[in-house]
Formats: sequence, structure tokens, C-alpha cells
Amino acid sequence: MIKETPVFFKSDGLNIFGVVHDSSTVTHNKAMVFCHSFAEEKLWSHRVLVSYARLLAKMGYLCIRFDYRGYGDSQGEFSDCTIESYADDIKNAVIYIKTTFPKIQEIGLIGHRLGASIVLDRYDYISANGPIILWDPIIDGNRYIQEFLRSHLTTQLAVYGEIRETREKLIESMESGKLVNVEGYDLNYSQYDSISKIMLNKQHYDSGASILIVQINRNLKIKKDVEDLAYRANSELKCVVEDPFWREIKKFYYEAPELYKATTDWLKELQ
Amino acid sequence: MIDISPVCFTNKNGFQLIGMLEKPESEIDRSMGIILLSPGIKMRVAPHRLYNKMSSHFVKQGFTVLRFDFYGLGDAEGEIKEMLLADLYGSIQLGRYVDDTKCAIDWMSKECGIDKIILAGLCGGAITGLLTAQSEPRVKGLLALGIPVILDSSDIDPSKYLTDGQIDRLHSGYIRRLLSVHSWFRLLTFQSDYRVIWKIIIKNFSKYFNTPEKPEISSIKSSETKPPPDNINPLFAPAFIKILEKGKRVILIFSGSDRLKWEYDEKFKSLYQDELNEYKNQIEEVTIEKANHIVSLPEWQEVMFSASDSWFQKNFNENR
Repeated sequence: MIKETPVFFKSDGLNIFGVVHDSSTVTHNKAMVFCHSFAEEKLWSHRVLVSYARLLAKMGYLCIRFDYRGYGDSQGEFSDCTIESYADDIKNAVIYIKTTFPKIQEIGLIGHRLGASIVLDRYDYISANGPIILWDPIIDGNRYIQEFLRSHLTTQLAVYGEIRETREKLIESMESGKLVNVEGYDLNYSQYDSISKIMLNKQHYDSGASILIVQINRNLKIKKDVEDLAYRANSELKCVVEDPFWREIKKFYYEAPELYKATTDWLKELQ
Repeated sequence: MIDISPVCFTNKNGFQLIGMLEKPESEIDRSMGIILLSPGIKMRVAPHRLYNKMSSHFVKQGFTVLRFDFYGLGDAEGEIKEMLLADLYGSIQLGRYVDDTKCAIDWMSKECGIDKIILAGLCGGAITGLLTAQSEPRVKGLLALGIPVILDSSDIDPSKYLTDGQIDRLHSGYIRRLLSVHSWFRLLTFQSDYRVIWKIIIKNFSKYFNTPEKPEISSIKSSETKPPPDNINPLFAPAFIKILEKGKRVILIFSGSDRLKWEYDEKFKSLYQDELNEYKNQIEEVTIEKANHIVSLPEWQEVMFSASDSWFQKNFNENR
């Protein structure tokens, strides 16, 4: 029997909302912390993460899914988020598991998109001690955040019939201390800047943890930058065919079977 | 200080639904509550946490607010079998979550002692509110943001049923792009949507000759399953008229750049003008100029809050 319990834990004095999935019949010694993606991607992909947490809970993992500050039901504002604050929240989720469930010996991390990038980049700081699973990590933060800003231009076109502020102007505006509203998310310069500086393929990673990178694409062709990242992180690389469920697509993504299978098979191999 | 706590309750099929209950300061009378109904698949927070912003505003107005996840969505239990979003949206527009909403009303009544409810929601949440309000006496009002009057389905080609408002907008978009090399490239390499372009050309002529067919409320009320003309949701008009007949209050807030506004005007309001006139004191309509469907900008949200506050003041002040 799997129990799902809504909880709050603290991070920098803020109440962070999470849901703990655990089994009432199994004594867990392994846990998995889910680290979600950025802005609206989080909402589109929410159910895929929920379904996988349920599946892992049935396999004996205690799982926690939580909302970073400024997201979902956690306190705080999106306009105050930075890569550092996301990493702090993940670290505090790990601490919450350690202190609330002292029998847990191994805490792993599953990150999706930007969540995956943070997990890899800040693994030592986060202080987990289990495997790392990276679902479609953002490798080039600058390219990613520029794409995000592009939707501001699309909104301008739809609302005013013209582009009134170019991307450069939006960045200047953030630099001067203003917030730029992209699809309802108030982006500040610190967050913009910290995301744009993510370049996972610039260094090698020697966390000592077992790492799985899963490339999610509409075909099985391996992308060069993902292959390079897998080499630098000394990780296993798997490719799965799934639609980009973190965006609005025609399909309703309740679960991602290929992604789940690749991840679960790897976890089983680790045991 | 707002008191926020996670709550769990079960629906008719025994699935656990998770929600957030937000209460105002204890000294404010709390005899009336608001339930925010999830839009589409965006769960209890809604796009860009719109519902968090709404609930915190409404709590400051003295209401107790519950927002929760319907089964199969957000953090709730239950499964969804629909493979395509359009089919899921269509099922919501036909009342998929009415029972869950009634369970939430029961829960609020039992746990908070509140039995005067305003249902509020964006898009799918709004139509769920409307369909629930017609048969739920505890619902006193409906605050509907971007309520859809049409029925989504993967079997329906929406380009077949464009409104004049949509056509005008698309038409000016295409005119603007006449000088764009990229647009001509798309057209000549078969990437453009020819059905839409053809529709614009045809509709620009035919709109002068055709008027939409008005579905009979009486035939729909007797739950005959006649296929609706156009892509209109057959449940919309009867439910809307029914809640007015029962004396409930409605505020419809539309976004100026949203096709849902034109669909409401052309596929409902213009067809039922006489019926609506009878109840004009119960209906308020507000359009947020230029706003998009998800009301993303704070200034648009301000218009929405200000309209809601005056509507509360006018219609429900004695209950608070």
C-alpha cells in the first residue's frame, strides 16, 4: 500500500511544499528526490513525475516530489529564484528526508530538464549520496533562456501585433533591476544570468555517484552535446523516444513508458 | 496573516484528492467560501500560479478559499485514459469533474461549516463550475474566466468552426505577413495551414450571407443526444440559462485577445440575446483589453481582481 502525504519543510526560512510517497509495508532504506523543471515546463510535466514517483515507491523507494520556492504551493516568489536558490531547496529536501526518515541510507536525485542540470552541477553542495538520474538535462543554459525570452516576443506579437521590445532590450531592462514577465513568470536578472551561465559541457564531473543521462527525443539519434556530457560525467547514456511532454503538445502525457523503462532498468542494474 | 494548509479528501470513487485551504484572519466572518477549479491539466496552481495569486487576493477579501486537484491530475489519485489533450478537454467540457467539485463542496461544508459557495475557474475550471452550479443549491455564484462554449475533441477540426473574430484576426495577421519572405517560403513549401487560409477567403464572403444556427434549449434540456450544430457544447446554453433561472449570479471575465471571447459572443450570446436579457441583472461581463488566455500580466490580473471585488461587493456583501 503506497501512502502519499503532503508535507512542508523549511528552506531558507520558507515553507517548501512536497509530497512524500512511501509504502506502509516496506521499510525503505533508499530514497529518491525529484527535482522538477523550469517555469511552465514544470506544470506540463507534473503528472509524468507523479506517475514515476508512484512506480518507484512500489519498487521500495521512498520518494519526495517538491516545489522549489516560488513554484506550486511553496512560499516565495519566482522573481526571487536563482540557480542557487533551486540548489538550496534541493539540498533542504535531502536534509528533510535524512532527518525525518533516519533509516534511509541512500538518497538519490532525479532531475528533469533544468532540474537535471542543477543536480549535476551542484551535486556536491546538495549532499546526496545516491545515484543521479538526469532526464533531458539543459546543457547550454544560455540557449535555453534565450528561447524562453523568445516567448515574450511571441506574446508581444499576439497582443500588440508588433515587437515593441527586442530580446536585447528585455535583457537591458532586467540588468537595470526590472522584472520581465514571460508567460506570467517574472524573471529577474540574477535568475536570467545564472541560467545563462550554465554550460555543462565545459568541465568534467567526478562526484563518484552512479549517473544515468536519458536523452528524450522523437528519434533515437544521439545528440553530440549529450554524448559529450555523458563522457564528461562518466555516466551511462540512454536514449528514449518520447514526445516533449514538458511543452504543450497534442498528446496528454500521463506517463512516459519508455523513459520509465530505461530509468528503472538502470536502477535495477545498480542493485 | 493567511493560514494555508494542505488538505486531502476522497471523491466518489475513493480517489484521494489533494488541495490547499486558505483561510482569512479569524476575526472576519467566514460564512462564504470560494472553490477554485483547476483549468485543463494545470492543476490547483494554474498557469504561472494564477490561482495562488487569486486565492491570496480572495482571502484578503474575507473568503475561505479551497483549490484542489481533480482525479488523475496534479497530485490526486486516479488515472486518465484519454491519450490526447483535445479529448481530455472535451470530457471536462462535458462534466468529467462535476462529481469531484460536489465532493469538494461537501468537504468544505463539513470541515469549514461553509455552505454558500462561489465556484471560480479559468477555462476548463469555469465550465466545470457552470455545469456543477446548475444542480448544486449551495453554489450561489460563478466567477468564470475565459469560459469555453465549444467542445474540444480530436475528431473535430477547429479550423472548420472559426469565429468571425478569429477570422478577422487571422486575416490581419496574414495581411501583415504579405511582405515577409519567410511567410511566402512557408506558403510555397506547403508548410502553411491551407485549410485556415481557404476558410478565411470563404468566410470573408459567406459571413455576409449566413447566420449561425441556434440550438433549441428545450431539445437540449431533454438531454437528447442530437449532434450540435457547429462545434458548440450542447450542455453550455441549458446550464447557463438554468443557473440564471435559479437566481444565481455570474461574472464572465474574458481576455480581449482570446478566441474564447469571440466564441462566447458569436456562438452563444448573439443566439440567446432574448433569454439573456431576461436575467441581465444577474450577469456581469468584463473584457480585459488585450489580455491573453492565461492573464499573464499583473496589470491584466489587476483588472480581473477589481472586477471580481465589485461583483462580490454588489452581490454577496450581506453574506460576509
